[in-house]
Amino acid sequence: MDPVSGMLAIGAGIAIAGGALGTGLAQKDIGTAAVGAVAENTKLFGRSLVFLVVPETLVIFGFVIAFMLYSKII
Amino acid sequence: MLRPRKMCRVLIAGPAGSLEKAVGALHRAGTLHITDYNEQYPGFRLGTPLPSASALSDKLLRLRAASKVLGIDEETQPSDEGPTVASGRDMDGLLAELGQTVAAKNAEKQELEARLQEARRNIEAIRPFTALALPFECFGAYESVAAYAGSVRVPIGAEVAAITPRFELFHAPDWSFFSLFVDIRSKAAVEKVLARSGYTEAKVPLAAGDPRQMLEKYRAVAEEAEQKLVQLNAGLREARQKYLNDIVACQRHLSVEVEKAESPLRFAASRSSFIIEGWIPSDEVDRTENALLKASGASVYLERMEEREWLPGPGAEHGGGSGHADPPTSAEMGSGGAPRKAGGQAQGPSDAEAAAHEDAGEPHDPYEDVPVALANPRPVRPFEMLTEMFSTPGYKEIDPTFVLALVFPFFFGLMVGDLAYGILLMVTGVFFVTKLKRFDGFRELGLFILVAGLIAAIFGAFVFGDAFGIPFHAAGHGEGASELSWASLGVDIPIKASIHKLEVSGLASLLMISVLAGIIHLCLGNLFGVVNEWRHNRRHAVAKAGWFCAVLGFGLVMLKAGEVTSLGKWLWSVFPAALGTSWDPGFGVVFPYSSLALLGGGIAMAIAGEGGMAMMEVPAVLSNLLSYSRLAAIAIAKGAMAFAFNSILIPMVQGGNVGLLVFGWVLLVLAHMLVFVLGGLSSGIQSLRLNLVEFFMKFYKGGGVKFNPFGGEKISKSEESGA
Repeated sequence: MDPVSGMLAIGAGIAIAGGALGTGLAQKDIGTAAVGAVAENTKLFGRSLVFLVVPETLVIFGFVIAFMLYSKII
Repeated sequence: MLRPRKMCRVLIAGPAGSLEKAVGALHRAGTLHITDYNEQYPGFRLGTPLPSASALSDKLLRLRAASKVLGIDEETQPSDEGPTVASGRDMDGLLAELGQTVAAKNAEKQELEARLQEARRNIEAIRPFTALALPFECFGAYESVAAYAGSVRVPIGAEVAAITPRFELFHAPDWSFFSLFVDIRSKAAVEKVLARSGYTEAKVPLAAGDPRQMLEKYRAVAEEAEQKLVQLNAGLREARQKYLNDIVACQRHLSVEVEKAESPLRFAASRSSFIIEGWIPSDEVDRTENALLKASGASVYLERMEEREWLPGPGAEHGGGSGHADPPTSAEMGSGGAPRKAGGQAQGPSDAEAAAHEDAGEPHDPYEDVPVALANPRPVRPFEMLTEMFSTPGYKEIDPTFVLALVFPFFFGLMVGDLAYGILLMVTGVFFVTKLKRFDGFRELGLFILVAGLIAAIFGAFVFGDAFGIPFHAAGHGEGASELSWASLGVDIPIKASIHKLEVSGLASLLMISVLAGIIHLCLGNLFGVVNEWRHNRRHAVAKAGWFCAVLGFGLVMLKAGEVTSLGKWLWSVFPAALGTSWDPGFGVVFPYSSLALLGGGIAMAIAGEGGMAMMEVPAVLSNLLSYSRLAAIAIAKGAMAFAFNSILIPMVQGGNVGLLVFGWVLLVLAHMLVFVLGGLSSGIQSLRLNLVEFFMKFYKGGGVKFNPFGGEKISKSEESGA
């Protein structure tokens, strides 16, 4: 494998990792608040779930970038 | 389907004497959503409960007391559908019987429990004193002697002897209990010694006699009470068995009767008449009216006040609906002057409210208070739960449940995309529907899983060609690393996969499918937005149309980028050639001219509709579209996980060693259970998210009042069980 491919693979890894970390950090706070809200009023479950999964878009962006880099390796 | 049932505001009026009959008829019909009366008509106050209310409440209270004793709560199901007594006299008999047996047994039980507790307390208090065998009288009040009883950590005999010879000490061999009688003049010095030795005082029971005898006596009392309690509990269990069905049926029946009897608290009433206001689905008004007339001997009058059209004429935004009926005349009412007066004024409040709202500078929304009864075909109805999870749609909004019912299983199936997991999901769904349906919501959940599993199996069989993450045939393109296939395991499935998940080309095709799904879904959302906003605010509708174009513009750029895939090639061969003519700015992204036109036009429309701030929303459109790539991401993540487990564990199973064979199979089953549960869970949540976030945000406001008819289902249940 040539060095460029290696760098591309590392870049793909960083893209996913960064997205996942961002999602995790955001979900930590939203999840805490959501569980509190649901404990107060179970009817809020649906909305809380929606808010909780909103930051998952970040890791999806990471995935798209990783895919674009990965497809250049082979 | 896409709109809720049309509602008609009604006003029901009649003489006070017919109230009970009217309530009964309305409750049986189960079609009226009552609007609570808030004393807006002069001369009319809040109604008072029917005369039977207090007697019924009393019965319900007695019944609930008995069911509490017997451990029956509202969730308890009858043991079988045996005969029950729910009607009038039988119920009185049941209540009397329950009062005699259950209440008496309960009183006895409480007394026994109190006795048992007291005996146990005494036993605990007396037990330490049995170590010394001193009668309790010894601890009585002395004039010249100080008495101590309790425990110390270290022996104290020598120290006390050093203070005074005038003492008597009794103690257990390990000093866990002692009693000391000492000359009262040495009291202070002895107490210092005691404090140093970690003295804990034991309270002397107010009793006389030998502690050992007393202990025996209380033990006998406790034992007797325990035995009696066991018998009594057995008796109560028997009574529970005997009365369970009756109590559950009577409780349901009484709850309904109490609801009926207390309903006049929500009506307007004068001394001689009553008025009930509410909403009835338009197609049920005639049936309800006939039932009312029949039950009351034509003495109750139902007036159709207004029908709310779903998409009203331009005037409807300001006050009333489109189908105002004439106010009732006194001849029509036929039951004294009061109802006519009320009927004549009934339109007053809504107009007055509207005027008040307009005075305050906010336009009155005539739909705010219309209850929403969703009208979906039967197979779609379970999906109403998902819509409700977000919020009940408003009356004038498009009800997205039908689209949700189509899209949710499709997305879910695409993400799971595996024949074996699909079949397992279907089995799980059938299990939920048949075995767990008595739990709230499980029937609906089972139906989603069943449908989603079916789609997953179809995708797995015909598109991805894999089961348990193992492809039917090896891809054979030299890409990826998978040599493992059902064919290599000796199972030949004659279906050719069109997409191999774990190859780069397969991933690209999956991404294309995701983008395409995103474009269709988001465009539909914006289209619904245009429809919802059209009557409300034309400028907002224009903005929605702009976003519709912007989604198409970004979508075309993405589809152009994916032209290398087989799906992309096919798509661009179907699209008109002019659509594909592109501009290549030279940084790797190619823009079809059509997409530039759509983006430019769309953003201009959005700015025209929503102002300059709309520019800030442009990246959000792109991110919404990209968000759909989670369909591909989850599908691949799940496939890769299954592939990893398979490529480690299947060679282990094939190794020929019996120990490894068993161990390998156990691990393989566990691993696939993990992939199955994780895959199902994340696919479900992500599919729901795409619907509730990306799709709903384009048009959905929610916040509607759910149609909650008076009576209806509850009474039919009670009548069934009471029959």
